[in-house]
Amino acid sequence: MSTAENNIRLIHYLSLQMNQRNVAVIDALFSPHFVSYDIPPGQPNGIAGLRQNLAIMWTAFPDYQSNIELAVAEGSKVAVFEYFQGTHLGQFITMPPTGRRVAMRTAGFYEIHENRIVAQWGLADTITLFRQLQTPS
Amino acid sequence: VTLAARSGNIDSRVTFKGVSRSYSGDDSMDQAAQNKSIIQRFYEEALNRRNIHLIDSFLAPQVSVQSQSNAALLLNRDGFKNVLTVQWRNTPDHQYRIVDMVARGDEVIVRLVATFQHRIPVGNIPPTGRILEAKEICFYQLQRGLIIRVCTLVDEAGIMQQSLPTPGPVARW
Repeated sequence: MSTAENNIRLIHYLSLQMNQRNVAVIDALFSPHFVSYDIPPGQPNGIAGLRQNLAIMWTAFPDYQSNIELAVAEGSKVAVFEYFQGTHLGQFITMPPTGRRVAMRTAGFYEIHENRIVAQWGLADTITLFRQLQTPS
Repeated sequence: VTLAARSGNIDSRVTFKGVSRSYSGDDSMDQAAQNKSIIQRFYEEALNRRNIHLIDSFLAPQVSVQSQSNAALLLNRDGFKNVLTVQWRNTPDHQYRIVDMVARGDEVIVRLVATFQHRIPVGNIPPTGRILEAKEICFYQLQRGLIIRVCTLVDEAGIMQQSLPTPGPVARW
């Protein structure tokens, strides 16, 4: 199996495990030196920051599922587009739960060395997310 | 591969029907390298140098261009040129910097940063004159050397953060 193919499988496996809320795999799939380039300066980064952000999303959208729709790998890099769907049943930043179904596209690049994710660069269509949460019923 | 766009809060999105697959073989490496070169030139020669007359040499006549944050708006080649014309008038200093690219077969995914001066309102936020950075990830599909499909995801929330009277912290690439 090529490095690219192996890395693609790792990202698919990560997605599956996160959808099942299996946080135990995080230490196995992420390097201890993992860095997210999505986190603004001054906020927790690394695996601690990752766990914190997952907790925020799982609290706000406890049923959410994020499914990979497209994945392209080359060498140590994997780029993905995903589709996020969930129900706003918990506090999200400053927003109390609305009970609304939401959906948005996300995309990201991963850098993987020796079967561990060492870096991530991601984007989420949060403008669409907030539009769905704020549109009057 | 088909492109479907439906309006509405939940379903207003591009779908990647039939492309939920992963490339792994090496048989398409030459094609991927050529396609990456085409995308690089598209940004440098057409977009960054404002060469509207070069657009037809990069985009196929049947191209579809879609942005995630306004998925109901599906542009053809002429529509894309119209958007560029408005963008270049509003932000004449607009420049793209490709940060990373991954390609396999006929598909290229690009990670890039656009910079431009805040000369027109962003949402309800009046121009500040600041230089803003927009992070983007774009999907391209090519056929016989021409782009047939574009789907872009832009960090619009990050642009708004930078535009505020007191800018919020923003992660940078």
